[in-house]
Amino acid sequence: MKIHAGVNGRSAAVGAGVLALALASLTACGSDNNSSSSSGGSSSTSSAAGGSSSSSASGSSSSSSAAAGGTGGDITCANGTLAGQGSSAQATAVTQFIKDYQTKCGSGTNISYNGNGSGPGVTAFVQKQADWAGSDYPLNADQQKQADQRCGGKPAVSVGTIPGAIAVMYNVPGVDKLNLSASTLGKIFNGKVTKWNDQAIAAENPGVSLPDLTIQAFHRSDASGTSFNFSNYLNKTAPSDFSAAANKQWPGSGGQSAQGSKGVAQAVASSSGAIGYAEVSYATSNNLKTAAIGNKDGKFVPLTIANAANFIAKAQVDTAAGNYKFNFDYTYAADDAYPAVLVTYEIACSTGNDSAKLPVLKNFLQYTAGSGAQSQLEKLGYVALSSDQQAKVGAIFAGLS
Amino acid sequence: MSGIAPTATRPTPRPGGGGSAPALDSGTRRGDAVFSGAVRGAAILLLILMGAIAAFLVYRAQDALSANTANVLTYTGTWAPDDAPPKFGIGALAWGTLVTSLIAIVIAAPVAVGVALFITQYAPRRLAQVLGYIVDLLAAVPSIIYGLWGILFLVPHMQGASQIISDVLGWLPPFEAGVFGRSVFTAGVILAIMILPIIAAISREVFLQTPRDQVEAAYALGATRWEMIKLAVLPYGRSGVGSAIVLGFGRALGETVAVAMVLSTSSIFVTKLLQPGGNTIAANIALQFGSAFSTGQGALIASGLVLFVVTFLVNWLARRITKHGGEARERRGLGALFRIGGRGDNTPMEAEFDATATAALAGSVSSLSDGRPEVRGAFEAKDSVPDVVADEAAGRNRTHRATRGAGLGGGVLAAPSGLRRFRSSLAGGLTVATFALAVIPLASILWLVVSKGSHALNVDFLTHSLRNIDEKQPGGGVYHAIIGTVEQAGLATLMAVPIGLLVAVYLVEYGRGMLARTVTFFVDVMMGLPSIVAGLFILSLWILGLGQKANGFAGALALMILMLPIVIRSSEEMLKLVPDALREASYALGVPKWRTIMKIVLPTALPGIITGVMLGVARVMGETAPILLVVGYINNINVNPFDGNQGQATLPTVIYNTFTSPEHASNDRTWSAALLLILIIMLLNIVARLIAWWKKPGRA
Repeated sequence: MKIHAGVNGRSAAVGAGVLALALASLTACGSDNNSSSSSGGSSSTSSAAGGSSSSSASGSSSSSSAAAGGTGGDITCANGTLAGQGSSAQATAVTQFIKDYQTKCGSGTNISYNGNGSGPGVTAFVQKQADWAGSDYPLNADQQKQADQRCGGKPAVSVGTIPGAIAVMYNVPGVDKLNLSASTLGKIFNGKVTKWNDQAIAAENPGVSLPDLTIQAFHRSDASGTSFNFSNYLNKTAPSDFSAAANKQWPGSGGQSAQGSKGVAQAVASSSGAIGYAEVSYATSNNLKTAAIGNKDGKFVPLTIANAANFIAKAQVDTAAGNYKFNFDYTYAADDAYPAVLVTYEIACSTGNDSAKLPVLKNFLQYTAGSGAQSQLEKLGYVALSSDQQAKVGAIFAGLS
Repeated sequence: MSGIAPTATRPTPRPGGGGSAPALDSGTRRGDAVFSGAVRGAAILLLILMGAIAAFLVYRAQDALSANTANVLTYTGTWAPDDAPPKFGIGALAWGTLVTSLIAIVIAAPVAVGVALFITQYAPRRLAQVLGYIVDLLAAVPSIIYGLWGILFLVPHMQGASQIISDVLGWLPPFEAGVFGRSVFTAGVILAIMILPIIAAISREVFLQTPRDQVEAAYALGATRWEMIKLAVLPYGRSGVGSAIVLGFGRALGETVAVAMVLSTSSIFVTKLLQPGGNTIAANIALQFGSAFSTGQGALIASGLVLFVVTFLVNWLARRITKHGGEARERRGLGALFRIGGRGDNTPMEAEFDATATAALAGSVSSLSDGRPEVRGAFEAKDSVPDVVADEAAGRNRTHRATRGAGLGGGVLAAPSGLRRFRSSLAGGLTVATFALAVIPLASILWLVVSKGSHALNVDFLTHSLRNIDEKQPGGGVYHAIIGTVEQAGLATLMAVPIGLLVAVYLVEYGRGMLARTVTFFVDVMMGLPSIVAGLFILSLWILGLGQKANGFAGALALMILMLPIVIRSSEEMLKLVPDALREASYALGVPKWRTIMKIVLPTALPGIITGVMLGVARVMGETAPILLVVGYINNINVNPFDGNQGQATLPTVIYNTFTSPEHASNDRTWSAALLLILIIMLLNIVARLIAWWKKPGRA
């Protein structure tokens, strides 16, 4: 039943022409090759990318399994395609690690990481839409059951790999330095304190002239590990002013919401009188000021990577069932220990991984735990694991099968 | 050719008609049987598809609803369907959806009607034509662009506006103390800007339909222009404009990403319009689907069903309004209805008609510049040659052509009093003002996208992916996203067009009785399907239920569901416009029905069908919400939409995934992607219109 080219010959020709044009422009060479020979892992690539489009087109695998060494640090290459999803808190770091890895290994390796939130990451992992998940909290009992099922009955592991600090970012004109105790933060994020010149804030900031400005408190609108850890800090440190238990869906009442860490940071940056929380790398990239926050003893600790590292160092590490979980001690109250921290986990199947993907999954995750990647973390706004922890975490990833 | 009275069904060859050779006869009977079987099969397939969607959604929703431990209507706590015990409420979401859409319609409806009046009644002829096209094109701008503009431009500026409103109206509880940008009011404003072009485009069509004899009669009685509008244009257009407004409302209800991007969500029954809080069903799905497990998906599906039902009722209402508009307007109303799906489509006949009607109007307007109608001028306009051609081409029966008012001489008319003239110019000024009001945000969107987007839009941008590009870094591009967009839309077209065409042929050429009525009904239902619900369906059935991958093909499936009703409706309209005389001539020559359809009917309607399909493609290319749900987002080139290991990026999802970046380099890329998306969609629209114009009856 073909239509003869009759009355419609011309319009069919037009259609075909348009289609051909579209196809022609499409099949013109496109390139994944955006690397301009940046030395392994340095994030200071200032030279414009996309210069050298001479190399092969997509899909064609070139160099394979190069040995470790050279500028790539401790990268062991493997070809393949890997899809990760999850925590936006670790997105900055993971994106850099992926770049290192792909730069070293060439176009045969494609790793994607969609930092759309810990909640979606875990779900996608359980539903086999992601090969590994990034999450700011380890799998809970219920999720563990589902994740084990996904791994063919073998245990899925939650491995704390990229520790970070949660910045309390604010945008208040004329205020460069701010102290906020956990109880005041609890009141702000529950809508109990609504003005920047409120007595509760003024009392903690002698000598700072606070404006008569309405507070716009921003939290995450999506399920988020950062929300989980920040609400955990507030609830554990100031239970009377923040009574809701830690939850990935922001448990406070009142305030405004935005999607993703980026969304919160953007909202704070664009709203006068705003305050919000996100992993410190987002505060840095948005040029937002961060508050010194109160610990259990009411001391104000400024946000530095060193201070966050001190607090994380006191965490108890739980290695049961092949996991590597951090349990924070919120009662620890040293002057140089910043208490709003998080550890972002990589969640993967301990065994039963897709054999085609296993090499690249294993090698890439090993790289994230190695010194080549971890040594970049401070610069990226995270806290590095201790070398002892790096070795242990690396061993877990090396054992994936 | 207009001598044949419109029939309910198309003519069919008379059975047993003598003269045809037996050999031919048996062959054609078999051909007819196969062909009618195929089109009927397509119609039944459509019904099965719809039935499957409905049954599956209801089944999943019921599961979640029965597990829910909170009152689904009144619960206002955290959305927690996957917790133990599961808790979620849909009432507050539905309320928020209604509130934002109502705000949108309250703002958009008067402005849009003013714009349509300005374009049809006040603007000079050439300007009117250009403005008409611009409004149509704006109706095709995808919602991700509006959302992008909303969050990056409008929200920061809304704080001041909210402050003013709260200062003025603060004594009313809903307008209390508003100093926040991300309120339902802001969301409503964005929705208003989004639906404005649609309402304006349909209203414009409706106003252009005002019978010229009525217009002339009004003028003949000495009416000023405003009085003429009140006497002739508005009463005539009431039902059409009413349905346009209701349809705009329907679109606002289902809008997802723009609201998800700007609204600060919370699960409360929102009453303070200027303060943050509230949520809509569609935005909630977009925010929560990612982290939803089994019950969570069911809960989202349940909320999606509520949205679906409400949208359907609204669309049904719009059809009812149109139907009551009377015989003459029904055809236009239907055209307008399918235009909504096609997002501002112009059929060949309509394109022709627009031009001549505008010309005619302009002609009479120019002769009335002194406020006194001149019978002669109006007459000329009415019976101009292209006018007649247009009417003939469209198969319209203009029975009351000419002669009316011929007896009136210029001397009968009295010059309007000063007050009436003042009123008329005041009304004219008001429509100009509403036009300006509408133009400001729309121009601002285009200006921002063009000025910010042209930075990074270069050859490298078109030929490189975002692989290994971090946000701080300039360079990189969206080649991978162009591939994804084109492949997904292409696959969707490949699936939707054959099925859609067959169903349309069935409806026009064969359809009668229960099956046809049911199919028509379900096409209506699909028309109102919010895109996020289509995405949700593919996610929960295809990907999670059947264990398929979140690749480009899954995206194409979702787009196919959205495209099908557009293709069916536009093809149906086009096939109906093929004159019955052509069919009868063919039958008279002994050509069997299926060959008549394949060789006469389809080729004649083809340009219009191509136009409809291209507009459908342009629409689905801009879809964000369903793609977010069903296609994994990646930064590298993946030319294989069936890839089991990775998804694909599309231009809208690139925008959605990068718009929050604080880095200049990344922002430049986001705006460039937006510009590119607009350019592609505009280009498709323009080409579609060119085909329509090129092949329009009466030309050449």
